Amino acid sequence: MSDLEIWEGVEIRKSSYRTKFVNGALMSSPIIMGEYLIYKLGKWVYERMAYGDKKEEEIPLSPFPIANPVVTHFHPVAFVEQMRRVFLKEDIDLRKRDKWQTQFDSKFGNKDKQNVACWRSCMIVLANHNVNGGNLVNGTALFQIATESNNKLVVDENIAKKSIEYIDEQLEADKPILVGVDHTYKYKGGFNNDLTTDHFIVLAGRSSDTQGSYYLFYEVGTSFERYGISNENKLYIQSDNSLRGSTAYTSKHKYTVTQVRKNN
Amino acid sequence: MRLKRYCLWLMITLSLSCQSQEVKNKKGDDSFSIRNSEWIEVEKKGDDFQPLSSEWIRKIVVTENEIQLDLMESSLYKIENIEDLENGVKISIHNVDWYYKVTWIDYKKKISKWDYTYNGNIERSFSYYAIIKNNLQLIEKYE
Repeated sequence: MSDLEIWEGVEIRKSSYRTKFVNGALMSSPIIMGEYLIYKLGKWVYERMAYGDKKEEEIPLSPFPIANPVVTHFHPVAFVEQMRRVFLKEDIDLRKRDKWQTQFDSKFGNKDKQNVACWRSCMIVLANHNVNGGNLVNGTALFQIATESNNKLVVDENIAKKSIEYIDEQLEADKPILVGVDHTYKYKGGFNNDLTTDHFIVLAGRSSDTQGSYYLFYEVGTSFERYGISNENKLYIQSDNSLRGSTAYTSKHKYTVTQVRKNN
Repeated sequence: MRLKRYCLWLMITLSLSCQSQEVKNKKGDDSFSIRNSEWIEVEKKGDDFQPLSSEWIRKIVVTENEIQLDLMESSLYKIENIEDLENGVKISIHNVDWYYKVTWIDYKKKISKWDYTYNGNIERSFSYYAIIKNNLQLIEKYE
């Protein structure tokens, strides 16, 4: 790492230096006289610090040579930009108030039936988005990500990874997608087709925050619209590629996506 | 004293006699197999039954080795075992701890109560009355 010190005159911060960010720039004590990036007037500027009788000066940024097949140097700014393009996905939010459906609707029958009408409500949400999908294909889900076994939920990381690619593909095509979730081990004995899924929801957006990348979902298991389309209905991508999170209407249930259904 | 004893004996005998007659009336003498049958959910109104008017009407299809149930959605399950009970049957499903207890309500019309049973408790959300599909016309709808 110390070899970097001879590259473009950058002075490496010693581990003993005290540092903090001021206006987007990393300040240190003692002061480092090298160049730094600072966000000014809506853009990132590469500057050399003012000291002595030298004034603060802007160093023009040179674009990354993407047209040149031979990359002759490493540019940290370009590297960060490229990583942002590769790993950060564009935010999507397909949710609309008038497309949400609660499962607690008399159209499904009495209260006992409404309690288990989540899949049917999700199908209505898909139909409201003009999406044809959500059904089992030959008795199975398109992606069976997790199954309950030996008192725990076992996630297949490879299937989970493929399912995220499929979810992204569908959301980018403006298609919400029906998924099954698990919240309790052997809930009511395990009764859906995979004997694992406890509830169904509809994924309808994606974004990220300080906790990581997440998917937004319609919650049909509440009669309150504000909870049904809440911004707090988030499922975060985990290190094993599974999607886990909470639903706004209750703190009792923590969801893990168990299966993803096919859109046609 | 003797008269009192006789009355008590008479009451017990009559009561047992009525009970066994009721079971007989419910089950009858003909042999009916629940395998290869199709059922439609119906609604109980007082002592009568009527077809459902809601959008979601649950169906049950029992074949030789499988059963199709509408729990949250229509799914197919493998039958582990069908056991005769005094007034119905117990249908055990492969690989799960729950089962359906089917109790005859009106054996003649083939109306029964299907109870999803788990850990000895009936799960009301998955339990309902059903009539055999071909007999649906036997129950009238209230206006």
